[in-house]
Amino acid sequence: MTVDVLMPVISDAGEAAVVTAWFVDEGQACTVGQLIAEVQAEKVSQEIEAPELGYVVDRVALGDPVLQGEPICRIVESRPEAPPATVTGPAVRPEVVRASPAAKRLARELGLELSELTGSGPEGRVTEADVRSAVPGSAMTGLRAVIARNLRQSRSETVPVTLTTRVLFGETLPPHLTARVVKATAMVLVGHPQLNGIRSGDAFTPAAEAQIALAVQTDEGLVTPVVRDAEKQSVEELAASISGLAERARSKALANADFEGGTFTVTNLGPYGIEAFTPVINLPQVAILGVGAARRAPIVDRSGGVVVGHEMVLSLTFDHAFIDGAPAAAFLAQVREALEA
Amino acid sequence: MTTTTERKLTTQKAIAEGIATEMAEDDSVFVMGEDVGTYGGIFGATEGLLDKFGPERIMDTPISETGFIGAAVGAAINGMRPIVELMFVDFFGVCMDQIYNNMAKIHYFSGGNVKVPMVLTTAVGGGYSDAGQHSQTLWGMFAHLPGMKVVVPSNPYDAKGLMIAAIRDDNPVVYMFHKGVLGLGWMTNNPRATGAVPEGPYEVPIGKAAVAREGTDLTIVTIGLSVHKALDAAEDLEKTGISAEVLDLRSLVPLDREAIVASVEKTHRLLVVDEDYQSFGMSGEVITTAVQGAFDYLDAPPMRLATPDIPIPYSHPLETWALPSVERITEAASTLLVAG
Repeated sequence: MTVDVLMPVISDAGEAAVVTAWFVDEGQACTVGQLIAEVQAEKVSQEIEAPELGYVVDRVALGDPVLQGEPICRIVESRPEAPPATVTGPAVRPEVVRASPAAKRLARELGLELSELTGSGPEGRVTEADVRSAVPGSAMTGLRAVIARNLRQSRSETVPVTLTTRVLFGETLPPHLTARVVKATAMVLVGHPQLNGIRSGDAFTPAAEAQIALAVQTDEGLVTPVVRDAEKQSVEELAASISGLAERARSKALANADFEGGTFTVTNLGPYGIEAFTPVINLPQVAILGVGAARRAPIVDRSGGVVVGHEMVLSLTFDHAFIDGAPAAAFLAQVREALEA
Repeated sequence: MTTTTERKLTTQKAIAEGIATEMAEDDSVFVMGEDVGTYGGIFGATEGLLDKFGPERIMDTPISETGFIGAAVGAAINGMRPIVELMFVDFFGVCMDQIYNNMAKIHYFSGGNVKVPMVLTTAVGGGYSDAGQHSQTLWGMFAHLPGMKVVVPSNPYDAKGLMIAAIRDDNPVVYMFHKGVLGLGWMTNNPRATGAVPEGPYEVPIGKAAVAREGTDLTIVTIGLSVHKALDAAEDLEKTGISAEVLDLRSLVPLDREAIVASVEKTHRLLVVDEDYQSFGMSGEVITTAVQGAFDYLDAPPMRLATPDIPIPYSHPLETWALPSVERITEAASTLLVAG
């Protein structure tokens, strides 16, 4: 049963009065005799009590004129449906393009729309580097500028020579190939200290242990975190370490310490189907090993027959100022033998 | 014509030489404080001065900071140029009324008719397990209270030049020397505490910051011993290809806002390193300056590395954790540059 709650006739029926206060919310339950509103006509106020048990709905707005004798709300038996969420829900944050002030200024100067750019910063914030990279030929900033400076320094301060060798596998490719290459490299490096260490100017300091830096591509550019103690880990452990490191690099979760102490770098372009390449030495190291794609290929076996196997090219770039060709070749040959064993 | 010299001094000797230089020129300059005479100042800032100038001008005082700082205010009002030493800044509590209600305000209350040309020297800073009542820097608090100039040299050259500028200034100047930059034998050895100092008088202008190291990728704004740590961090960062500019504020009042803005306009990223407590202090002021003056140049939210809002721990591992370190500056700078 629905009951109308009427504006009482305080002065004259037919004259307007107003609700000055509601003591129940729209849709709220009330009991008989509960104070639900205060109304006023001329200068006389009156309290309104609920005549029935139920839910208060259709309240008139505070201060709106209501004729004396007309309803100010109704009391219904069943709970009304909740009002749409937009009425009481949290405020929706306006859509904005997240961009650093410097990015906004540069975009304005260049006449670019920020909303058309992809942000590489936290929560997709457009940085100055993102704006610059949208304009061909503009200057680099941030990590890109750091990478560029380091690579140019390597190009100008080293005498890079690249050797390649072909590693042969059987018809079934061994699993965790990147981890296998890193482990084999670390093990063989211990016997080739002239390739494993740090240079400062013309001085080279060989390292007691091999700590392999691994090239990882991130949204911001190339980084080279270090895989610790690769030769002491099993291939499976190492594969897990490497994928963890790469994941943390891509989610920007690496600490400064993760980049420190590398003595040699391994870079893998195999997943892109690249056969061989000429990697750039990661200063202050003196050599870097590039890993190509492992591809099915015809292999001549010991008896002279042709069988189906796999082959993978390793590309070693070393600084000829510090290392001669023969010892570099001997190192690469040993890595190949270790992988083929 | 100027002549340069490669003569080197520690910061502590440079301070004493700055005082001696002005005392020889100006009879109104004198020194008061606890153990400044026979002992030469417990941090050596008045070393050798008693022998040169005698007990009339180098006065050991009783342990009554309110008494002797108040006496210095009175002497300054009457035409002298006192240098008065508050042994540790942490002891300010007993004498703050003389400092911030008299020394800092009389020139204002008198409409500029009464000058208070005094220098309040005080030792600041931690890092050597001297606990929470002997390790604070508190420069933010003195800079917060209007009426005092505040200077904090980080090296011998600035220490002498700022001391001479402070003595010659007609305003009250708080001259805060960090114990870690003095070159004291019993502190951690610090090569940056020794440097070339010209023999004659010269001033380092109060209110002018100095670019301690040029860089292009981020600006580290700091003061005092943290300048040394920031320079060490900048050397580490250079190995990873990051070029950090280090701005040594040297003065907090007046603050060289133009230098902060100019550097941030150049590098687009700001890290403030402050050995003082983090909240309501220098780091917030510097960041506000950058946001207001160089807003359109910022490419990442400014970052700060300061002492957390806790008493300085006595335990050395805890103190090392609390105060800014080379490692944490390096890490913060890398984060600002890569993840910013």
